Amino acid sequence: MNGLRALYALMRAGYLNKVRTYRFLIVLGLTIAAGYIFVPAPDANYVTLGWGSSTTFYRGVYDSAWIGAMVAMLTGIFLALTGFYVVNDTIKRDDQTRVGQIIATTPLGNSTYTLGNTLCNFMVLSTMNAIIFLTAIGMQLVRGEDLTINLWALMAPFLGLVLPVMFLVSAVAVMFETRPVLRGGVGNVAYAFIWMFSLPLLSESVDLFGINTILSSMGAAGLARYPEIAHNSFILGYGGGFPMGRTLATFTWDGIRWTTQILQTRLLLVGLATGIALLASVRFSRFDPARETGKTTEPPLDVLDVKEVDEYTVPPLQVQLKPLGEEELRFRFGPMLLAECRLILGELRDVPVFGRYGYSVAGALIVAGLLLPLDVARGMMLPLAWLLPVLIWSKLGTRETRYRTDQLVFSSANILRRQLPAAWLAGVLLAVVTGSGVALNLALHGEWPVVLAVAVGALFIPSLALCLGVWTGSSKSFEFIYALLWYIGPLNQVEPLDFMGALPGSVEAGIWQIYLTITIILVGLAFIGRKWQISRG
Amino acid sequence: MRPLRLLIENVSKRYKASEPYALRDLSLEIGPGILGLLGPNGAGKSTLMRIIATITKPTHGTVLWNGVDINKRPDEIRAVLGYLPQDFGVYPNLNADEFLRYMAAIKGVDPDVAKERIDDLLAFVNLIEARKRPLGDYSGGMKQRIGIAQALLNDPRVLIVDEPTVGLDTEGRVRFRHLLAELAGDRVVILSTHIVSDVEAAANDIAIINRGRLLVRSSPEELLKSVEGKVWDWVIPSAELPAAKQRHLISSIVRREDGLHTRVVAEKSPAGEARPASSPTLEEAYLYCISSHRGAVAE
Repeated sequence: MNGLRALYALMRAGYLNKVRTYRFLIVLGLTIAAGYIFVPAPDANYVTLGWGSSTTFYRGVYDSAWIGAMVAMLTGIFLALTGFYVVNDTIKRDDQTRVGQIIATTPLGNSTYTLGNTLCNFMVLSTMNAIIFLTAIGMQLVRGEDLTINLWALMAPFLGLVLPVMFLVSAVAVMFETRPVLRGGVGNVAYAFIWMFSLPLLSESVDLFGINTILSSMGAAGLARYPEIAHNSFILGYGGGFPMGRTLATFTWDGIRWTTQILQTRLLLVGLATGIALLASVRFSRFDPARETGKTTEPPLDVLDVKEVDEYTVPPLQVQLKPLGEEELRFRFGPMLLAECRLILGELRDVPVFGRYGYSVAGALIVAGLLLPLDVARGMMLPLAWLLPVLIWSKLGTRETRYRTDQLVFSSANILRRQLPAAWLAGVLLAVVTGSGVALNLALHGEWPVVLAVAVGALFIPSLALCLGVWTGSSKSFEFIYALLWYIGPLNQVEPLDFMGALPGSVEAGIWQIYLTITIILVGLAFIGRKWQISRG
Repeated sequence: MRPLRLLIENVSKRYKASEPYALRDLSLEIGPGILGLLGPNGAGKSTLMRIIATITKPTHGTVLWNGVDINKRPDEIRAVLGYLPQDFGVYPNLNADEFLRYMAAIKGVDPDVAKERIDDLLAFVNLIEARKRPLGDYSGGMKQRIGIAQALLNDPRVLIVDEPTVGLDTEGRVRFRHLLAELAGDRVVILSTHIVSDVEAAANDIAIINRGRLLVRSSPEELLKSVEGKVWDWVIPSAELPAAKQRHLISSIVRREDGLHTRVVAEKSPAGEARPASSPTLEEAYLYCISSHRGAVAE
């Protein structure tokens, strides 16, 4: 009974703490907006679910069954990524606020704690689902193709398909938090990759989002009405550029038939999530720094002792502080830039995963970029070289609040003209140095247009980091947006997203010019954001 | 050199419309010397410090530094400011040397001058031995000393220190007070604390605030005078202590063979056997001030 009470108290406190944050509201806003976008109007120039040809687009009538299933599937995919970043700081907050040390001294068991936090995360994500469910009802009425609201048909896909996935995401978030190496930026980036890699894989093997089952049922209904529908013309997600004059052909779909097999798969997910939540407790350090196997990337939120390194026995000192004149207090940009570079070098010296081998790994990537054949250097080594410093760039714009030096830094004169340009330039230099091997290789081969595209990449990355850092106050946004861009663009060869000039086609198409423009906008926005940050008081 | 003058005029601060004012209509004129800002927790001291340091903007009122409104032109005071916030952090991957060089660069101190000054400051705060260790390994007291060092890097004309001795040991506190006294001659020093003995030793001017309002502005001597004849030595049996605490403001208790020797702050003698105490302390004057504004001092 006491255990249940503790579990409830833990869930309640964590839930209230989370839903009262701006981050929750922002993701909620995005989710509601997504709910609206997921149900395009008949005359919209994009589609989200159906089968298309150049003349006709086939989809179900916007009734409760279709809208419920469609919004639920897309929500599941969307929140499986963004939801993780909303909930993956429950244990970290307990650690940083030192509440964890109080919790650690109570009889609360580790498994109760990790399970409680999983349930807390689940409640937060369920709240989001509940709100998007209400949005789905609204969208059915707004689109007006069928005004009969069938609550069960609308709700069942959320309950049966999305919530088990949300439970799994909640448990994985807790698991990440209990592993020191996955707790910070490494975990943020790693999860984005796991999501990208596992989405197609898991959807086919275990039908994680229940998509296959629903789609085959929808497809059968569509084919019964329109036998000409081509199987390979299926669209799920954003399908843009449809001709405005296309014919819309609709059919009625009866909704999901909840077979034993579907239910078994969903129960399997719930079991898997519970297992992960309990497994997370096995090596949970219980807020004991001595039991942490890896070093956390963020300092505690206060200035309590980590370890005492001195014996305070001081002879009387006769130190005279000399007065400084105006000449000695004239700002110089060089030392400021050097100081910012030193800060970055300190972080590279201790970059997560590679630890004190950060310099060596960066050096090896530079040498490899210089010596390997040009296509390998450009297509593989450059993306790798610019993946290593991602957790250093992600601190741009957030370092002051993250390490609570903001009051020291922001109370200094002309900070906007002095420190921010230096911080940005240090980030650019980091990109230049880590990408220098590849750039030199390209220059030696006379590939100057590509060198230019790579240079734009070196400007773009820290600009994106700085802008997102200043405006969101968190390094997470850059970490996962950059991971997505990096994976989809240079690695999966989607040319419009090749911001670093890794693909021959993107350079020929002049994509770098777009990124140069975006870079200028991002830098401008970063300055505006920082100015507002300093002046708002 | 221009005369230094910080003028705080009718400053109020409310963080949210639904919350009470953290500062209410507060006015102060501060010149060279050490102003000790005293008040209980939540009195509004840190809010006032942050407003002067240009971190927070007042909801109403103005702060003028040598006639310039720092709300409109914050860099006027920032250029001459040394600020030690109550709550601050450091970059854990840097050592003391690197961190102070970073702060010196931000403050525009010439690199060669900074090197020498950092040596002096590290010697002063007794961190020479630990200067090459990452700050992430520092204890709370050592981080506090780094905070003190960074506040003095640019030889500030205005030095604002908020609870500076928290985390310092006795020797560190004494040394810091001496430094403040040494610095005070030609600059404005504002020392905010709830430790009355720090103010007693260093400040030549005292302001007491509570619930966002200025209660008293006076010299330590005047403040002591205000409590003369209002502190009583009173010996009571142990069993009577709870009742005495309920009725009177007790500033200290010493257990002796004949009972508990208490010092009571009250307008009139708490009991027939109580005797006027010799030499009231500044702490008693402070308690008297705070309590009399709450109406808690027994007649």
